[in-house]
Amino acid sequence: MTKRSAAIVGIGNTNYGSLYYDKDPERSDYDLAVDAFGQAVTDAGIDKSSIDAVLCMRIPSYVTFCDRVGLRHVRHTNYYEGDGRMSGLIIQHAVALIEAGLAETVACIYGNNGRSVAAKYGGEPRPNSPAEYDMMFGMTSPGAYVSMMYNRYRHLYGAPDDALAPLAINNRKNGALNPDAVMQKPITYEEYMAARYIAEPLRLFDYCLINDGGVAVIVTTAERARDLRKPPVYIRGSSSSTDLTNFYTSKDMFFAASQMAAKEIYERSGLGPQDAKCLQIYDNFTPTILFTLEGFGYVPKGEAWQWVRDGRIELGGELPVNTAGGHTAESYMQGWGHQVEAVRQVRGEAGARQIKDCDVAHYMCVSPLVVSHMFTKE
Amino acid sequence: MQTYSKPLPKRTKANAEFFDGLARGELMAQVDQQTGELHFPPALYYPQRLGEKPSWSKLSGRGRIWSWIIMHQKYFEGFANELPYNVIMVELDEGVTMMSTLVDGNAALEVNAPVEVVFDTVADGVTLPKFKRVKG
Repeated sequence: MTKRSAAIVGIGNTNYGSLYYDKDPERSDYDLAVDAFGQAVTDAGIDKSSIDAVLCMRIPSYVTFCDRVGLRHVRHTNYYEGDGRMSGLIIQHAVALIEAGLAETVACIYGNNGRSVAAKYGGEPRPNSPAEYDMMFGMTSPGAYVSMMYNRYRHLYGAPDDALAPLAINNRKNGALNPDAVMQKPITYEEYMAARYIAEPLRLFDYCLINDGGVAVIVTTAERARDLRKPPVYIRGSSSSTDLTNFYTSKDMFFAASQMAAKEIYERSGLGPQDAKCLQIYDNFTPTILFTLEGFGYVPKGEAWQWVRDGRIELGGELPVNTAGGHTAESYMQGWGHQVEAVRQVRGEAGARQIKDCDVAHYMCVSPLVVSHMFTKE
Repeated sequence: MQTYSKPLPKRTKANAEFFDGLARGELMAQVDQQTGELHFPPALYYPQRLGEKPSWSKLSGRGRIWSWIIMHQKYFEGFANELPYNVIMVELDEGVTMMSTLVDGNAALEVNAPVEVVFDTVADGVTLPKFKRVKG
């Protein structure tokens, strides 16, 4: 039996900017997901009834979602928790379902009303978890654990106080070219440096932007994909690995886990760092971009903070990163926005921020669960 | 003493010896008797020897600051008056890693600086292991 391959044929997302400026505590995450789903179905040009699997993240129930969109009898469905690392895993599982013949067309669905319901990402009680032994010293929030890692990184590799500025500035510059992005204005170096600390050494603009939004991605067999409305974007390889400890702070900045996922994706896809035309890097906080560039072999260990300077990662630079603005400018859609942007770049639909001849886009999420995909034109 | 308003793990069968040790002025961690491997935070079972109850070992209380942060954001009402406060990640000589507070203040924070445990009784029956800088 030859292995079936999978392709992305439909994408949809809400406009993050309009949602940001219209905070509404009554806004339902299901409505956001349904809105994105409708757009993705239209984008794919399929009949909704051909969808036979639905994987949902963050919205609390696949039952409610499927009922809301009239998909009563699918073959497969599941729910994934609202941690950003799951967004890549859902796409990987959609591919696996298709390759295994367990589904033909999978809708991957995300809805998040985090801003409207004032999600905090820190300070929540976590009874019976190891986090309680950190909270008794006031330690909480993913940003603080990343800041702890980054401060060690700074010490080991001599990164100066302003080492993260190019990352935050790049995201905002790209966001200004993305009509869906929350932040439509670039920031200056001075503005970056003057912003308040949240968990020092991380400053305000190193942090993702909690927002409302919905995203949907439709995946089907490469064979079906050929006859649909938009050019297929293939998932030529996907890999994952873990670094599971009682802290979000990983003592090697997730290096070993990233190397494992990197080796696998380069083997599976037959592609390497030299092939990617843009990188879509999960950036819950800006230091994660440095850990990712090093862990996936784009830059030698300890050198990413130097490598990202001088416009190298900007549009028009050597290797553009987070071309839609990432989590600090587009919206904190927990990796979904990055994957949609990879599809847009490969399709050639990225408008003012389009990279010329973008045939390979590499998505990477470095966290306790590392996930990576190669999105390709061929 | 006033009601203690900061987060604190509930006392359980698994962690009772940890908190009792702190009250005695001893920093205790669970140890695998066969391999000498230490575990923190406390749990009812060993990760590598499922089903067996862990033993306890007294730590030297000496270690180094692996890294530090200064928290400027208010996440806990109980810490509101202490902002900005530090959190250190301490690597103890025996290999256990834990979060804590450097009592010498934010200006004394330094990666790799040697530290030693101090026992801070913060409320009736609540003693926390904090750290102070010592000469290497």
